[in-house]
Amino acid sequence: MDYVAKQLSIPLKDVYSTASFYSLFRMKPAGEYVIQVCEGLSCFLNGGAERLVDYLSKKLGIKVGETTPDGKFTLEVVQCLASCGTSPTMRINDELYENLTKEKVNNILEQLVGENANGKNIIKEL
Amino acid sequence: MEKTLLKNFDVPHSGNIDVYIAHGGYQAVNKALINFKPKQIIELIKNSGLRGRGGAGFPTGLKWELMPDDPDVTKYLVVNTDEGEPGTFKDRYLVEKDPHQVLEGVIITAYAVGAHRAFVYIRGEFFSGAKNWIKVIADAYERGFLGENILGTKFNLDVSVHRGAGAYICGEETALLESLEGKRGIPRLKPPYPSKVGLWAQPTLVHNVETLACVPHIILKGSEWFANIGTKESKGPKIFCVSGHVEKPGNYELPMGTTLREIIYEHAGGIKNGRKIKAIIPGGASTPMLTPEHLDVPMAFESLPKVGSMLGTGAVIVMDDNTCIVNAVTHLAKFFAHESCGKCAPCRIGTRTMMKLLGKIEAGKGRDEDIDLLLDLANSLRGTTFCPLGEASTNPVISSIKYFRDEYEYHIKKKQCMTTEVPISDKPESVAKILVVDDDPDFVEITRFILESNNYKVIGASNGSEGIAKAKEEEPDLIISDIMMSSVLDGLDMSWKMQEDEKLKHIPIIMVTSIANTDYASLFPTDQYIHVDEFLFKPVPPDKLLDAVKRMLSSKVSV
Repeated sequence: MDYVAKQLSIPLKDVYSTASFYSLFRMKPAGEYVIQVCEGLSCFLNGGAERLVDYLSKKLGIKVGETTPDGKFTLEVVQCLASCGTSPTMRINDELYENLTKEKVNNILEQLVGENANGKNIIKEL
Repeated sequence: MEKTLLKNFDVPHSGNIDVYIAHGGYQAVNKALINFKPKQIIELIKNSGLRGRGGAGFPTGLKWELMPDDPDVTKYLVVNTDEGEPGTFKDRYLVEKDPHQVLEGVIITAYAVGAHRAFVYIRGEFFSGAKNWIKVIADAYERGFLGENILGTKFNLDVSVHRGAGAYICGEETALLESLEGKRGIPRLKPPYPSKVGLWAQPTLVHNVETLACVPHIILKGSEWFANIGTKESKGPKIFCVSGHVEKPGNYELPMGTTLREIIYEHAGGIKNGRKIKAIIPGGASTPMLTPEHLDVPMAFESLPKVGSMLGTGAVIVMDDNTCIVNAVTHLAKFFAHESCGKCAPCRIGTRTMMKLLGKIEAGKGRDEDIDLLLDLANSLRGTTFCPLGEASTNPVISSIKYFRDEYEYHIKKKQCMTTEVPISDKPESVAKILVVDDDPDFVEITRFILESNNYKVIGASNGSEGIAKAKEEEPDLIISDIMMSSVLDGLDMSWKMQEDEKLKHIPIIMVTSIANTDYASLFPTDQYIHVDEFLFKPVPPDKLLDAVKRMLSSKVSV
């Protein structure tokens, strides 16, 4: 932020104010995969957010806003992802996952962990 | 009705420029730039009766006319792809499935108002949409639909894509412009309107994606075709996004003025599992909710205000009779509190206070006077903020109290949802049933009180044999039992008997005892006859009991 302020010749407070305003800017490093569960109304009505977040946080052993100790996954809750017709929904990095079920979530996580075998021990069997 | 806006949704690879052209694409741009003067196009759009599809419903032709026609003034066109209204998912689909259609609208609109620079502002969350926009724009440049001297005319247009960074408020046009300029996305005071002082203080036209998608079709089919669809004040086809408790959620293109009943029952397949409707939000989270008695209201700009609601984005969210309204509204309040930009005090403080009050009521900690306090607070937000977000946040609250005040009162008096008492036969994930066995009636009643205040269903039994009989009859999800009971079968005997029964052997058991000096857990570690999942010692603190119950039931989590 210091760098941006210097380059643009604007006060640091303006940079901070802008950076802290938007939800996609982060002040601390996130995991390799950022899981964002939609908590919009339609997802909620279709059994999304609450149960999905509970399930994911049990499986990964982290609470919302936390990152797994190995830096693999960050769990977040976000507002409407405009996929209300295919809810419940979540977004992992730039990929959108729709019509989620317990099985689908398991498969997605396994696939992501499969890309790096070291991460396997953090996913709990439920 | 013949599909217009969604006609290419089933065409594979319609985002490919060759496929799009093969299906009649870019004919509208050709016709507009070669055959029409800008003024004629504005006239055509005015006659068509097209109104903005982003929520406010401002007449599009009039908006164009408000732009200065001095050719020396730099003018901008901004495409608002910041779709984030809960329940709305039409623009994302338009951009993902038929982006060239929208780009055609951009080119024609820019030509009509004399803008030579257009910006696509897309939500940071829409990664594939942004990728699509970039590809589509590059292809259009290559084919000469963008750049200098488009189609051999003197018209030049450059388009670029700008990704947002996650803020619902940036869908409001002046906040969007601030964000596009690289600042915090907070709304500006209006007037001056963007058509006079917009992006970098230049006249700017901001349009919703669906509005722009309508433009090429009006050019090709004429304003009369468009004006013949719909109602007196709402013309043309409209994409209705249906979600929530319906059998077939999705985007449906139907004439303006189609009734909610037709949309929900004929197109979206009716209510899931054959249930009944409790409430409908007709135009996205910002619009007041309606009830089944409003099913025959036409979905049009002029008819919804008559029943106290708005067309908004045309996003229909359906809630069945099993929905807890207080819970749903609490969710919406959380959304608005999160998305309030913080500029205006009534909205910044009001949305958060409403969220807290609703959360309190929802959790069974509300007071009788909280409902009127909510209403009072909501009314104080109306008309006291720069942008419509503040007022929008009050719509679900005020309308839900109007129609479902009894549910709020129930939450406050009985400390639970009205809906959990409705027998739910076709929904497997009902409230967990817990069997409490103890020869001490006080323990059964105290445990019953603790568990029932936390929305569990409790069955009581006073000895081991009764416990087994009740377990067979009620099939509980969990059993809490005393160990020593002055009866033929004590707790351990009961557990032993249950192991012999196929139906009962999988039910988790928590044993409770007042004899704390025995290490029961080590006494029965791997006993194959007696099955105990956890031991607790009397007196059991309520939080410890609830923790253990949650732990035992969590093995049954279903998503």
